[in-house]
Amino acid sequence: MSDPLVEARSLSISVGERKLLDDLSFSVEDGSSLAVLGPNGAGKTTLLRCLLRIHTRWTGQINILGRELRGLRQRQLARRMAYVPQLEGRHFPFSVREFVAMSRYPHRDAFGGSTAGDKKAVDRALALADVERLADSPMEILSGGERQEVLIAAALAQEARILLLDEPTAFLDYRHSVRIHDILATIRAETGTTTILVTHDLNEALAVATVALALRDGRRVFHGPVSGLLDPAVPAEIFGVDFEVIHRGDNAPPLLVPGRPS
Amino acid sequence: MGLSKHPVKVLLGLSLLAVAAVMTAPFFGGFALPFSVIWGDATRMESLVFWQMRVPQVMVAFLAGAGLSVSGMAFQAMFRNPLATPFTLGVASGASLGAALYLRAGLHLNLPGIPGVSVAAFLGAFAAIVLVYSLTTGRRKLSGASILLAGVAVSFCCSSLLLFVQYISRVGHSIRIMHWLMGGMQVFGYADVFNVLPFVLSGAAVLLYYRHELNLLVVGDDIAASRGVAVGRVKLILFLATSFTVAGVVAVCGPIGFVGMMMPHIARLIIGSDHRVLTPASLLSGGIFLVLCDRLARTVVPPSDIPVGVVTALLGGPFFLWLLIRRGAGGEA
Repeated sequence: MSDPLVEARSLSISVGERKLLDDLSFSVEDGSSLAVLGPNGAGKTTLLRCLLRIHTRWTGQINILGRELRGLRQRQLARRMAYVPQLEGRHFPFSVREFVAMSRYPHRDAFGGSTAGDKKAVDRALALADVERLADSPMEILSGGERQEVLIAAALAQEARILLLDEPTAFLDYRHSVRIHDILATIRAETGTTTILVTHDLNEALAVATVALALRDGRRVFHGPVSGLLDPAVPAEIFGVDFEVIHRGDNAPPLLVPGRPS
Repeated sequence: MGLSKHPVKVLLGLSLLAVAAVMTAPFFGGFALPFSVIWGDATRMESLVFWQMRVPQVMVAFLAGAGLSVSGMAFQAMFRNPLATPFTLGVASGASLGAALYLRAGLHLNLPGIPGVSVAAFLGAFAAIVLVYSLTTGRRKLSGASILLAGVAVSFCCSSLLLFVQYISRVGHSIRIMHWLMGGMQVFGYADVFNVLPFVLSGAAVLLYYRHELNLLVVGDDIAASRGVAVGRVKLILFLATSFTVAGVVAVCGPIGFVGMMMPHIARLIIGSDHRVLTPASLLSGGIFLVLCDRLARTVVPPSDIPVGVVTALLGGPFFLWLLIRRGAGGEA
């Protein structure tokens, strides 16, 4: 087996007295899809922010593609890892194509214009996220679901091997959520991109991930194949709520339905 | 939105307008001058007024307008707030206080090529922006409206201190401070042109260099960081450059309000938000606007010159309100 793409060892970060992440270790293998699960305030977003170097005051070690995170320049990091942020509270005064093209930043120097390679990467990203029809629309007129798809396209234009997503379906209806899941499946199938997806939805993890990492109060409570979540004791420990497993047909993953607080 | 389909044409149009404004403006003022001034077919007095007073006045007005406008543009991008300007962030007041302290002390220390008052203004401006920015990034970080409130608070503190400095100054110093505070551009020679020029040129160069970074900062620090922008370092450089520009302008012209808020918005309305074209458009439109305001200020009640700040504020105040109402009504500015 090759080296893991992302590896964290004894990662800790605290603000004041509060430990946001506490001695967290995990690894992400090439081509896998990791779901980072946990209740609100478990440290999921903090973990993403450490990986993106928005938070820098952590202790421990993080390796990205075999290089220590602290030793990477921001552009080098951006060529290895792309990011799909949460939508709310943002203002995008650009057209879809302009915004997606802005993701080519880590591949160009200050004085270079956009190259044929840049254009190709943008076109491919628009196609993969299935938003070519929106290319010339202003971002401001898109619906929430469409904007989320464009954010994914923008991250793809970075042509990084790792894709981070921060609750990409949190504010979307069922139809758009399913679309996002389909897009993620296409991306993995066609580009082999490794995805790290933050979510609090167990069924989303079952639908799109191969591996799950569950946090509670900044600590790791589960790390393994998503099938491990089907032991009702595991989700109960993560969320503090009892779950029932509903088995469906052969082609659909089982569903986890919450019950009473345990 | 104002996404222009032909940004290059718009820029070309703005450039032509700027050239036209700068070339025709010196003929107007307290009294109009004949065009024959150019080929020397005029009285010695007319020629003197034209070349030694009006031409440098217009040049300083253009540079000051361009510098304030592009600074406002950068602040609006970095704070992602349409009301962020050199004034609402306390930068202009910081610069004023720095300059006033310098004038109060009666100092005349000039670095080679840079007047001491500009250095003092820069120190004041930079202290103000660092104070406001540290409030936005510290442990208990402020955001959105709180940043502006912090900026306005800093601005008021600086203004009060400035009044205090003026109050305890001797009459000579006090008049010097007062005169300069009016935001007027009374007597400008070529020396003043060269005092402002390096500040505006270097600030504009830095902002043009960081055009891609500005675009990414507009959509969020996290997105910018994930795309490879070293956000902390880039923001620091941008703050330095914009404070430098504001200070250079304020040190020579006094605090001139509203240009830094209005003109970037107008530039956005006509050319869109892409900083590759918005930066030159903000420079040009700010320059044109202040040249016009300056001429207006000198023409309305001759022979006295109204401080140009009065004209920009009279135009800018209603614009500011319009912007607030538009935002309040749910529209994004």
